[in-house]
Amino acid sequence: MYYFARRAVSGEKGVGVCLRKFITAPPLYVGQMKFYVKNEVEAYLDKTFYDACALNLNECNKYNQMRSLAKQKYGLVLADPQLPNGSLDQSVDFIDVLRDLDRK
Amino acid sequence: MNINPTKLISNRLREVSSTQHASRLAECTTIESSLCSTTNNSSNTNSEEDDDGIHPLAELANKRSNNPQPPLDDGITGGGSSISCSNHFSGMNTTLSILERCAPHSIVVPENSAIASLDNDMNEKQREQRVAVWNAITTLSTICDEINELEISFREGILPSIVLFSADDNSSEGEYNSSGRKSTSKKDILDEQIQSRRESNLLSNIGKFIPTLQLACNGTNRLKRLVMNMVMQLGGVQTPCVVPVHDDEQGRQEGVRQGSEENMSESASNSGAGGTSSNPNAGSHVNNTRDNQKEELQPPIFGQGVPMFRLGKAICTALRLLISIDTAISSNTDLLEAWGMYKDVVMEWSTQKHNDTTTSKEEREEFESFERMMIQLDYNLLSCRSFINAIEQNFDPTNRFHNANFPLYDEIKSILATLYGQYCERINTELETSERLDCIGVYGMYILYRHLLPPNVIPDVKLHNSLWSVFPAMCPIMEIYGPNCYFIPREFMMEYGSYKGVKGCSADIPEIRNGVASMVLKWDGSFKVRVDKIRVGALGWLARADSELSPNVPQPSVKTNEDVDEEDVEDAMITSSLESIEATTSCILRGVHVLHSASILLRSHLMSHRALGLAYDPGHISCLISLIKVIKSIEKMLKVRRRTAVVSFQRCTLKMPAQNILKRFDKVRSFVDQCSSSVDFPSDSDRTRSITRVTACLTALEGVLKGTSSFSPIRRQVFIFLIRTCFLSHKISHCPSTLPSTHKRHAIAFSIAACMDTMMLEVFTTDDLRAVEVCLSNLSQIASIEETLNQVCDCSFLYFYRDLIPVFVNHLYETNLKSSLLHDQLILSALSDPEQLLKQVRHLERDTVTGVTTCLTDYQNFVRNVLKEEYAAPICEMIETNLRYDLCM
Repeated sequence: MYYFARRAVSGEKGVGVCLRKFITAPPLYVGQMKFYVKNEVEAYLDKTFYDACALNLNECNKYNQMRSLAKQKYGLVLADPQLPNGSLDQSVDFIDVLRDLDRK
Repeated sequence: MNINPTKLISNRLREVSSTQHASRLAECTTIESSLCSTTNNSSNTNSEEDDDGIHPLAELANKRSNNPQPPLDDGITGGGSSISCSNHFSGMNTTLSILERCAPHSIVVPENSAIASLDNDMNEKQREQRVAVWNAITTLSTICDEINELEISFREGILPSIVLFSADDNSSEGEYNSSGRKSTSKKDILDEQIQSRRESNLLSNIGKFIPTLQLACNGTNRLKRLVMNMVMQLGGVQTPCVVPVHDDEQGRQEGVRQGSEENMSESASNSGAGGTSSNPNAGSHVNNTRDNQKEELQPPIFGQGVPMFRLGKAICTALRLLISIDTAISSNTDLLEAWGMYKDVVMEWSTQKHNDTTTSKEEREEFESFERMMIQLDYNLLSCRSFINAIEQNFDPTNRFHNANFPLYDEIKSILATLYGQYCERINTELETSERLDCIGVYGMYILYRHLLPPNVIPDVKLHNSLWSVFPAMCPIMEIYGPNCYFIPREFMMEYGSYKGVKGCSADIPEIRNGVASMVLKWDGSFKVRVDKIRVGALGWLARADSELSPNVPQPSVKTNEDVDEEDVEDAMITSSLESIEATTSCILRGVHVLHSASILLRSHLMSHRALGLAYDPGHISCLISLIKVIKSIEKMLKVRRRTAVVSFQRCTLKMPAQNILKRFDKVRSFVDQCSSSVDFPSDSDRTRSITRVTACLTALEGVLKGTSSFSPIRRQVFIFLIRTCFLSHKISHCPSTLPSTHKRHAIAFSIAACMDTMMLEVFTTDDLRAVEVCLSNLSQIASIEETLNQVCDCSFLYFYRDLIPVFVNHLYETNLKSSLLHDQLILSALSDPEQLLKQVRHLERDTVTGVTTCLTDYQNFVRNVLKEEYAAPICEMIETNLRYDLCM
């Protein structure tokens, strides 16, 4: 958490380069085990973005932008969460659809 | 105009360094200074070039530019992104020469031609004496070799198993333990369910552990017998003995020719050097010639004054192993607890068996034999009295030493004092290797000396004082195996050999421990400086090794003028190639020394704090990481990057010390030949006997040195015995006064001899002896470089300090943030080493599919979780924050 706080506040320009170094580095070997930092970061961001999107669908666009930024800046390939883009207010309300079905 | 490229680079380096950043400059000059110091130490050949003002880094760079291999990929320490050494190593095809495995007698006993020479121009007694000398050397070498083998078995198999008995109790892994198994920690004392599960686990483990305990018990029993044998040999070679003499001439000759190979090993292992083994026919012809036997008092094989340091070292090793096993068992409370429970269960079961009338006789007998085995294990091993049992034996059962008025205790004292002095001289110096461990054996030998002392003789006060004060001041506590299995010399002395008559040499255990703790804390102050010194030395060495250790670095070309003969050119080429080999040798050996220093410092720091319950200074974490990096980067350099250089160096260098030794003994050979051809002494005279002895030794020595290019430990043992015997026998013939027992006293003895016989100085000087000792030491180091590297570079001990691994990884991450280079892999390579250790634990549960122990799987999971938590998680969080930040911008 210490690093998080320090780096988050600073927003230095060199941070991106520094982080890219970790991601582009070859895998780490411990005995017969391989440890890919890139995979770990991708898994973490996938999970975090998915959870955040699922909680608040209004921010889907924002996270999509962040995904493309992640690819652009760090070469991270993040999976599409396959969540509906938008909220109940902005698109067809499925409850209304059900009501219509009842009427019919 | 032709400009020397080296000078050009030197000028550029000077210009660059003048504009460098201050800290960078400081480091550069420090490495430079370390390079200069190693250059001066290793050879004086560069002194002329230094005078020309060539920068040492430029010199290295020039050599490096001739090397076709790619440069270090990520900084001077290398290995930042590549895979671990073991993975690299497994795929490589370059292996060092495998040490030969052969019976000792086939090494010692010269070739058939030499045996045949026994028949010519030699009387019966001389022939017998020669064979006796060969037998004695065979015996002593065999014993020492067996001790070496036992040491390896104990170090690699038995001790780790005992220490890791409760390795599956993974309570220390704390929050990182996500193996899915429920931890059965002994810390949950109040939870009955957990405790009963733990007890059940312990019982199950001890059941599976019985074969290991049997192995350990057999090992300690063998060591005990070997200690007795070796101590008896010490006196045996110096005292006269009663031996059966055969009148059957034909049988004797046959025995020499045919039976020597088979019988020597038998006689070696059964009767020993100083006893009846002097007759090689003892094995096969005893029955045939029993009627023709008569007893005769034979003079001692070596005679008094032959320094038996090698045997003394072997005794020390045996005693150290016994002390280690006792300490390992007594420090493992889980093992003792499990054994106690197991004994209860067996006793209960035994009562049931006795009461049960349906039990068959066979079953009962089987159970009784099992009970006997349990009793044996309990008495010999698990009572932690192996060491005491070994030294409380009767070492003079036939009163041979008593009858000969031979003070065995004095001999032991002399050897232990000499060894102690030698070891203490090297401790805390750059040349230190395994002296600390060896000192444990010296302390064991001191207790043996105290036990051998007759009741009316007062123990040596000076020796006691020295043992109490000198070594403990340099090394108050040392690791035997892991943080719980350690040795505190003063505590040991108080337990086994207290001497309250000497002032200031007694203290209570808490007082001793407090003293040790304060000493450790005091040394903590200079820890950083010591680490920095090692680190800078290692950096300098790495730069040098990367330039010099290449199999195809071109040799300096010799200028060929018309005036110069071809022979001179050839000589110059040979000289330059020899210089190059010598430089390579010194470079590799220097690296091994740096490795030793780093390993000793790292281990002792980790162990002393853990054993004494002292907290690790957070400021020292970077130093510890530096030491690990030093170890792993040197390992990588010698085992991976410059592997081919090391292989080629070993093959071409091994014969050099051997040749040097032989060369030194040329003079002795001609002297002895001269003496033996013009001998006009009676055949029983001391001089004749000495000459015969020296001749026998020389014949064997030549055979051993010329025999092979692979120098196994047994071959080295033989060398040492041959040289010692040869050397001292030589002096016996000239120096009738008290003979020296240490190397330093050789000089005095030679001076006396020189006064008495001026010819002696021409034959073999003290310088010759020193040169031979150096050659032997080099030979030993070169021949066993593979084992040394494996042993010193092994960081499997980090398993016992798992709580520090998260701190290390966290520190790595923090360092990487600031650095443009990643040095993770060196540390991760060190973290991989415990896997080898955990694979050796046989008593633990194994996975049915993969075949690995759960302990190993748990460790792998633990490291993976640490990497996730301490390394990847901060990166993830930072990237997420940066992405959010960028989006807002």
